[in-house]
Amino acid sequence: MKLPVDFRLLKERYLGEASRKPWIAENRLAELIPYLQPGAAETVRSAVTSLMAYQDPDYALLYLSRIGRYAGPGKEPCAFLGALASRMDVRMRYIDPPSVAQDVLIEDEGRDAAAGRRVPFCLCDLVGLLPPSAADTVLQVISYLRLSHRAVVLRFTGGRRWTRAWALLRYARTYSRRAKTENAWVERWLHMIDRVRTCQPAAVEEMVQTADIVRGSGAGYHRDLANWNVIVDRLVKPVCDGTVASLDLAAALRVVLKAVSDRPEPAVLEKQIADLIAAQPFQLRTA
Amino acid sequence: MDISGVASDMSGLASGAGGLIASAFVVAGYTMRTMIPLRIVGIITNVVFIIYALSHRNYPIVALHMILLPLNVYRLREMLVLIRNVKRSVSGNLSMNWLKPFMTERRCAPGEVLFYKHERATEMFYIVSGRFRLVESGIELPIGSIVGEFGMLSPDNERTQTLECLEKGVVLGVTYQKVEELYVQNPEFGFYFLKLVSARLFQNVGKLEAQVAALSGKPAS
Repeated sequence: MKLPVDFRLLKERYLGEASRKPWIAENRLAELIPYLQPGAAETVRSAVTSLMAYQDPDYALLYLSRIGRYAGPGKEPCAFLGALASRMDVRMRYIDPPSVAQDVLIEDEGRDAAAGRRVPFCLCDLVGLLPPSAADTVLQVISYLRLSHRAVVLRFTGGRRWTRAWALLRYARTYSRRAKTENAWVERWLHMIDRVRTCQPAAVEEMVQTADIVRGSGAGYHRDLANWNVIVDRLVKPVCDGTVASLDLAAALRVVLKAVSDRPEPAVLEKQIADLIAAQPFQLRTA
Repeated sequence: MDISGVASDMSGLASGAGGLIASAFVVAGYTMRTMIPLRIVGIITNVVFIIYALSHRNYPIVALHMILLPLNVYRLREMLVLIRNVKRSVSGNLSMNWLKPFMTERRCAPGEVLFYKHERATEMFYIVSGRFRLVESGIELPIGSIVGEFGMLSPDNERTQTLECLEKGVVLGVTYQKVEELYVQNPEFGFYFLKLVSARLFQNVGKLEAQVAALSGKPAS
């Protein structure tokens, strides 16, 4: 639906200059493809398609601009780009009620509408669908009442009005608190990859793989995210800052990635990392 | 001779003329493109309407314009003070403290990242307290410094460094959209703002030249 020009100008003014034109993302993809290895090119191409379906062409453009940090004219080809591209695609298509509703509507097209899917979320995930200005206040209140991680199981059934209503919320997703948080998460991951690339290039692949830790939805997702932050704050960052001397980050990350597959409590993981650092021949340098 | 009819006609005429003049100022206000002339015309309109409405004992209109008059005066003063401060900054210490009234406070915890390298730049920050470091260059920013002002004018609109909070502190943030609004509403402000940012850029170029000269052992030109 094309809005009259005055409304489009107002929309641009208050909701940003979203192009919503698939050909812009496709052109950008065509510009990038020659600089990607064949495997990575295929991953990026399918990621662009899935991100356009998940959100809109502008979201795919954001993905391509992030890929463009590692590939393009005058840039050294990165061996880890294929692994990074697929993981970034998965991370940028995080699970929230609109995305599940979209999946259910697509799956149930032409099938029995009664078949549904139950997906667990936390209360904070639902509040996160609000814009940051509203969500932050509500999050403060529910956090004070210790209800942030209260489990809420939503049932999505194909053909139901509620499912369609949830799916429609994807148009507001860009302006939500959750989108801002997820965006910051991806940026932090890329930032840490850049830092590891500078200080211990051998550990880049492992750093890229850390994105696999965060998966699913609800309480499990929040625990994974907390574990990922523990790994970055207690292991990767100190190594990059130089406060932990002579630690083989690649080996340490492999150990930690193995440990985290059982989804331990963040406090337990923190202790495991502390033990790992203590076991190194060179101890913590005095700050 | 009975002149009461003539006097009544004259008062009706004056009343009509007063209404027309007040209406003309309203129309003039709507034609203004920039903020300062708009506020000035707004103030004159308020005064004319107050006189006109008082003469007709139309007190709701008097009350409305008595509220609008100080509002217009306050906004006009705000703009004039802003221009004066930007002008002073250009010819003085190149500081951007004048932006403070338009900024919102944000508290930062240690380890919090305000923005990442390559991220799209949307706002600039003024450091009030705490310790903040540009991660890639390792530079620690002093209290009172502005960070992120060039992102607004850079063509690719991307952050060139990551800014991390080292010690709990407070920053004031202002979005580029807000600065753009000030710029568009007020061409005089825009002119001095450009001069100020250019001067800061030249200052940085000068510092870099001095560093290069120091490294190569030659005096800076």
